[in-house]
Amino acid sequence: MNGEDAFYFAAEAVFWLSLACFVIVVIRNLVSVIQLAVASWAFWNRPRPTARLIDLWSKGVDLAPPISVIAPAYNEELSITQSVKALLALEYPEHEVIVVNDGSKDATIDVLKRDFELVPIDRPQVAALQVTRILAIYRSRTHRNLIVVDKENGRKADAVNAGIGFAQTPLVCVIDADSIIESDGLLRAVEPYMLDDGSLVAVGGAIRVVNGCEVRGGSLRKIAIPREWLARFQVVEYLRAFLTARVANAELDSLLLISGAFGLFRRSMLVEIGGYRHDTVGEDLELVVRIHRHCRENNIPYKIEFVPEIVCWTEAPISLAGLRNQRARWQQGALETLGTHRKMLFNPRYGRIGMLMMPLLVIEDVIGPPAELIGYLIIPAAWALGILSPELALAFLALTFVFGTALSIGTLALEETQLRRTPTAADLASIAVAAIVENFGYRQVNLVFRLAGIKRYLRRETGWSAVPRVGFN
Amino acid sequence: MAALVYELSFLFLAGMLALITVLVVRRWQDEKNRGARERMRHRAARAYLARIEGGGESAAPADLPPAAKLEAVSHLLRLMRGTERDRLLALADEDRLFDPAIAASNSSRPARRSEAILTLEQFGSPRCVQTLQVLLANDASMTIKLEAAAALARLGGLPPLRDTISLLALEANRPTRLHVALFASLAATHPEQIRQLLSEEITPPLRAMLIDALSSSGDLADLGDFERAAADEEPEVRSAALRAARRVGDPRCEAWVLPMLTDPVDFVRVQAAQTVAKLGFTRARPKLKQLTTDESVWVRIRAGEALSLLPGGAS
Amino acid sequence: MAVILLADDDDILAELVRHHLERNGHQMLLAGDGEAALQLAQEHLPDLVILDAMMPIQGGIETLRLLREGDRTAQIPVMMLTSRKSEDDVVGALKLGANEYVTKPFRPQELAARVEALLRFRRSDNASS
Repeated sequence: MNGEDAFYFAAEAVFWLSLACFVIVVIRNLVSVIQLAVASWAFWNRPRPTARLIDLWSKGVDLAPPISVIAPAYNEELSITQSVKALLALEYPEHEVIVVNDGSKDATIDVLKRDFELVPIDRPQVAALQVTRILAIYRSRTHRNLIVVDKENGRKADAVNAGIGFAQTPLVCVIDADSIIESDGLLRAVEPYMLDDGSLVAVGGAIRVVNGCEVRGGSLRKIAIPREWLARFQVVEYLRAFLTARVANAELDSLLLISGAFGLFRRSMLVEIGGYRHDTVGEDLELVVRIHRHCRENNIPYKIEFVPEIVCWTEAPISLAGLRNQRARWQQGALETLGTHRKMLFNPRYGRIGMLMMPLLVIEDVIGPPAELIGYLIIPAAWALGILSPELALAFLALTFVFGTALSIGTLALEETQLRRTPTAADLASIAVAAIVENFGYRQVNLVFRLAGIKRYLRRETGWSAVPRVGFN
Repeated sequence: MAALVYELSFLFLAGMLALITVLVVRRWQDEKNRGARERMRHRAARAYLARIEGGGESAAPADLPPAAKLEAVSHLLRLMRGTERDRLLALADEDRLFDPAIAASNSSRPARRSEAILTLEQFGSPRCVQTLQVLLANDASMTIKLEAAAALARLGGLPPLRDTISLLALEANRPTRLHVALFASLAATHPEQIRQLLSEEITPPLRAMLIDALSSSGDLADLGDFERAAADEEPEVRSAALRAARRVGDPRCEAWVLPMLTDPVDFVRVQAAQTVAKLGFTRARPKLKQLTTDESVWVRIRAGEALSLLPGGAS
Repeated sequence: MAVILLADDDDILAELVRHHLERNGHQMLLAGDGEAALQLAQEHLPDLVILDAMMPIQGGIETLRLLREGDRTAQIPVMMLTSRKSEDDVVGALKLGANEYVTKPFRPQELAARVEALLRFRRSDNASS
C-alpha cells in the first residue's frame, strides 16, 4: 500500500464514518422533535390541572384507592424522623407508610423506635420478594398508618421488594429515601386510576431538581433554582426528560421508564412479576420493561400512564464525581436491561415496545454515545484530511448545537405555558441561559461519563461470564 | 452549502431567542401585575359580598374585568352554602357571569370543554344544566361525557338512569371509580331509579356497581336487594353485597353473611371476613379460625385480622 | 371587640370570613400558612384562632398541636375551618383540643354565630376564674 492509497483509504473510512455518525445524530434529533410535538399535542388536549380529586374528597366521596408508600432507608438516622413525618402528612384520604430499614449501620431503627413508639407486630407477608432476612415488623403507637420493616442489608431493590411484600393496599408508591414528595403528589398521581377500567398497572410523575429550594422538616418550603451551574444543567435535563420524552412516550402507550424516585404501581402486578430485580443497577427501567414484557407475553391488557404534574423533588449531584457515578450507573443499567430483554428487540410480539422503543433505546444508549464520540473526533480528522471544508464542519457543528438548544427552549415554553412552576421571570431567564451554555462542556462531560458506564458494563459482563445468568422467562 | 447551514442555524437561534424573550417578558409583566390582579379579585369578592346583603339594589362593579368577577364569585360559591350562596348564585345569573363557559362548551379542545364543565357545575343555573345535558348527550369524548354526567348528578339534572347508562356506554365497558362516584351521588337522591334497574336484566359489573352505589346512601330499606345480590351467581356481585352489608351495618344480615365465609371464590371470602369483623358477628369465630389456614393468603390475613377485631380478642 | 387570627392560604376565603367578622366589630389578623399563624398567635395572643387543615409549610393540625403545647397559647379557643370532614379528621382535631369544627362549604352567618358563641364562652370563663 503506497502513501496515496493509504490516504484514499483513510479518507474513504472517515467519510463513511462521519456519514454514519451524522445519520445517528439526525435520527436522535428527529426523535426529540417528534417527542416535543407529541408532548405539545398531549398538553394541548389536556385540561388544566384542577383540584378534581380534592374536590371529590371534600365532598366526602370515598374514591381514592388506599396506597402504601414504600420508603427504603439506609443510614438515615439524622433525617429519618423528618422524612417519615412528611410522608405521614401527605394529603391523601387513606395511605400507609412502610419504612424499610435496609440493615442500616447507624441508629436509624432506634431513632424510629424512639420517635414513633414502635411496637413489634405479627404481620404476615403477602409475598416474600426479598432475598435477605426480615428481622422484625413494627407498628407505630403514635401513627396507626406507620409500619416499619427491619431487615438485613441488601440493595434498594431488595428493600423495596420486602416492603411491597408487606403492603396490603391495591396500590403501592415506591420512592427513594431522599425523595421529597409534593404534598398533593399522591392525589395527582392517583388521578389516572380514577378513570381506570382495571388495566392500569403503573403511573409515573414528573420529578424536579430540589437543589436550591428551601426544604425543612422533610417537605418543600420554597421553590428556587440552584446556584451551581452543574445543578442548573440538570434542571434543564429533567425538564426535557419529564415534559417531553415521558409525556410523549406515555401518550403513545410506550413509556419505558418510571423513575425510582417516585412510581405508583398496582401492587398485584409487582407481586406477579416478582418485584424489582436486585442484580441490576437500573432496576427502575428494568421493572417497567419487564411489566411490558410480562403483559404482552401473557396477553394481559395493560396501561402505563404518566402525569406531567410535579409529584416529587430529588437531589441532583453537584460534584463531577457524583454526576459521573450517577450517569455511569444509568448507562450501565440501560445496557443491562437491554441485555436481559434483547429477545424483545425487533420482535413484533412485543408491539411498539419491541419494534420501536427498544430499538430507540439501542440508538440512544448503545450506538449513541460512541457515535457522538466518533463525531467529535472525526470532524477534525476530516478537516485535516481535506475532505470537509472547515466552514462546512463548523457550520454543521453550529447547527447541531442550536438544534439541541431549540429542543430545550421548546420544552421550557411547554413548562411555562402549562405548569408554571419556575418561581420568577429571572429564574426562567437563567434556565434558558443554562439551556444554551449546556452545549459547551456539560454535554461533552456527560458523554465521557456515559462512556465510563459502557466500560463498567463491559467489564462486569466479562466478570460474570463464568456464572450462568438466570434468564428471564 | 456552508452558507445555507449557517443561515439555518442562525434562523433557529433567532427563533429561540425570540421565544425566550416572549416567555420572560410575559412572565415579568405577569409578576408586575400580580398585586393589581389580586386586589381586583378581592374587590370583586367584597363587592359581591356586599351585594348579597344589599338585597340587590347595588349593581355589579362595572370597572372590574369579567374574569376577575368570575374567579371571585366561583371561588366564593365553592366556599359557601345556604341562603347566602343562593343569593350569590342569583346575582351571578343576573350578571351573566357564566356566559364564557357556555361558549367554551363548544370549543374543539376537550381541555377547554372540561374546564367549562367545572364552571357550569358551580353555577348550576337552568341554562348551565341545559348546556351540560347537551355535552352528556353529544360530546365525542367519553371522559367529557362522564364529567358532564357527574356535574349533572350533583345538580340533580341527570336524564333517567337507563338513558344515562347507555349515554355512558356502560353496557359494554367496565365502570371506573368515577362511575361509582357518579352513581353513589345519584343513589342519595334517586334510590328508586337504582332499585328499579336492579330488578331488570343488567351486566354483572353494572349490578355490582349499583349495589355499591345503593349502599353508600346507607338506606336500610335496601337490605332485601343486598340479600338477593348475595345469592347472585357472579362473585363480583356477591362481593358488592358484602361490602354493602358492611356499609349499612344492620345486624339482620347475619343470616346470609355468615354462610358466605365458605364461598367458593377467595375474594368473596375476603369480603365476608371483613364484613363479619366490622359488624361484630362473634358467631363467625369457628369459621374464621378455619379460614386462617385457607389456601389464599388474603383470606388468611383478613380472617386473622377479623379474629383480633371481634369482641373477645385474638384467641 | 375581639382579636381573631385566621390562618388559611385561600385569600378569597379570608375576604369572606373577614367580611362577616369585621362587621361584628372584631379585629382580624391574617396568616397564609401555619408557621406564620403560630408566630402571630404567640405575638398577639388573639381571643380566637381559626385554622385551615390543609395549608402550605405547616398544616392546621400540626399548628393546633403546637398552639396547645405552648404555655401562653394553650388556652386560646381554636376553630378548625376545613374541607376535611371524615370522622377521623374531626375526632382527631377535637382530641387535640380544637373547640369547634366547621367544614367547608359553610354558612357564613352560622360561622359568625359560632365565633360569637366561642368568644362569649371564653369571656364568661375568664370572668369566673
